[in-house]
Amino acid sequence: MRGQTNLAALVIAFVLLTGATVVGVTFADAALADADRNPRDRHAATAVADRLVAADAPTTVRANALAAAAVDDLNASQVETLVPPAKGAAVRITLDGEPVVDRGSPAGGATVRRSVVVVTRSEPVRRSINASRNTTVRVPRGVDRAAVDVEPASNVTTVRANGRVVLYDGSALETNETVHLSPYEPSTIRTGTVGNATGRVVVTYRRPHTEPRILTVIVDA
Amino acid sequence: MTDRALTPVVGKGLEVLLVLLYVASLVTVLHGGVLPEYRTAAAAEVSDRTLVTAADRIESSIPPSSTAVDVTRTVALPDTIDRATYRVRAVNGMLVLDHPDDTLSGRLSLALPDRVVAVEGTWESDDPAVVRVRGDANRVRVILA
Amino acid sequence: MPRGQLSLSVVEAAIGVVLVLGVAAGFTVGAAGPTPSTPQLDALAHDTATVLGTEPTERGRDARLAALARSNRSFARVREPTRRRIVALLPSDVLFRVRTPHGTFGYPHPPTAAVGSATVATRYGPVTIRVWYG
Repeated sequence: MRGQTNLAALVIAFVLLTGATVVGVTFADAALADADRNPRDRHAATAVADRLVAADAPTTVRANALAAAAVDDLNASQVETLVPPAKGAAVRITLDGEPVVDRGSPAGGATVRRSVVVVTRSEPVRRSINASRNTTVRVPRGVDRAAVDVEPASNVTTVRANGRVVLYDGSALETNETVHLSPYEPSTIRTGTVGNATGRVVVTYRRPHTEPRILTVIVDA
Repeated sequence: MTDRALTPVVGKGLEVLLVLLYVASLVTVLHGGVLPEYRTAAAAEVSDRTLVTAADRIESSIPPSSTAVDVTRTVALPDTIDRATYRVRAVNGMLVLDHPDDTLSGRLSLALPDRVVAVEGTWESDDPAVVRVRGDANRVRVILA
Repeated sequence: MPRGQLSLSVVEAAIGVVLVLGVAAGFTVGAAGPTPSTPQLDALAHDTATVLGTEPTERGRDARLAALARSNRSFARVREPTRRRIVALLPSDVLFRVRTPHGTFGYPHPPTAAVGSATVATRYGPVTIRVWYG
């Protein structure tokens, strides 16, 4: 009779162990499914974010500075052309929650956030330098370039920005060119001449306005 | 008294036999049905992640626009996926992983700036892998070697 | 008379079950642990450093990042506006700490392990920005 009781206990033991194995396999299954973080989604999202904020991107004026006009024009097919891994994927790009590009529903995809500033440029501001009276134009901080238009026959030979020569012609200057300025300090534009100068030099610039924003990219490939 | 079901020795022997039978059948079921599936599932994950990691390394080794570009970076690839060596090729702006098992092969588009005019080369999984970026401000080439 | 003792097989079975479940639990704990996404934090720190490195200060002559590193006086002057700027730049769930050759500011050091950082070598010295989820 002892043998029989042992066999019954053995059967119970087998049943319990089988049950435990089944549970173990279920856990392993769940763990494997959990471990599928879908690396392609992450790659596509990082690629879109990188390509949108890069210094050489068509959407930026410099690294991490998006041009407001480019942002307004941005659409899904442009994103696809810029970023091949996003081809055919559901994409949502928002700036501080405001949708910029929305295609499909990338709910289960990877999310990437970047800090950017959005740059808007004011209307052109025109100031002129009276060459005969040697006046100057003070360009405020933040402006990195200005168009300098030297009136013909004004006998101006040099244009300086903060002491640095930006335009020079031994005989009179006669040109309309864009010069680069330091954006970190105000620039004083003054003219230099050999002999008497007449006429005007017109300096045109646009004041930029930067707004910090969070760029969120969600892609489901 | 002779009415006992089995003698203890035979009883224990039977138990041992039953246990061995049970373990053998469990191991067979696992190895036949469950294990190969998990092996390929895990290998598919490794293959996907290898491709993405390689693409990430290539994309991040391109420096900002500069007059002369000369970058060499090593890339760590797993020697084998599912005990087989494989190859990673650059074709048409895409990265292709060639594995003897078709389900473990894959392809991925690369996201590179416009300056990059060519991506070429092949990596063998068991050889040290290096990405070379050469060029100037307007034309940059990426070579897998 | 049935003795009140547990049959050995049942005890063995119980041990076996505990063993199998213990191994299975190892699966769930190991795989479900979320990896702190440091590449994302590193990207945010790098973005902050880039933006600060190309923005002018209110009254100075170089970029915010350079002004932080230039001198004690310059650091004292731009520290507060820069702190406000970084708060505006980063998402609301991300905290930061900035270290310069002349001092540090930001939130107290993070208790978590996942920290992203970016270091910029300005000509006056290195500036390090560290960010974490808080």
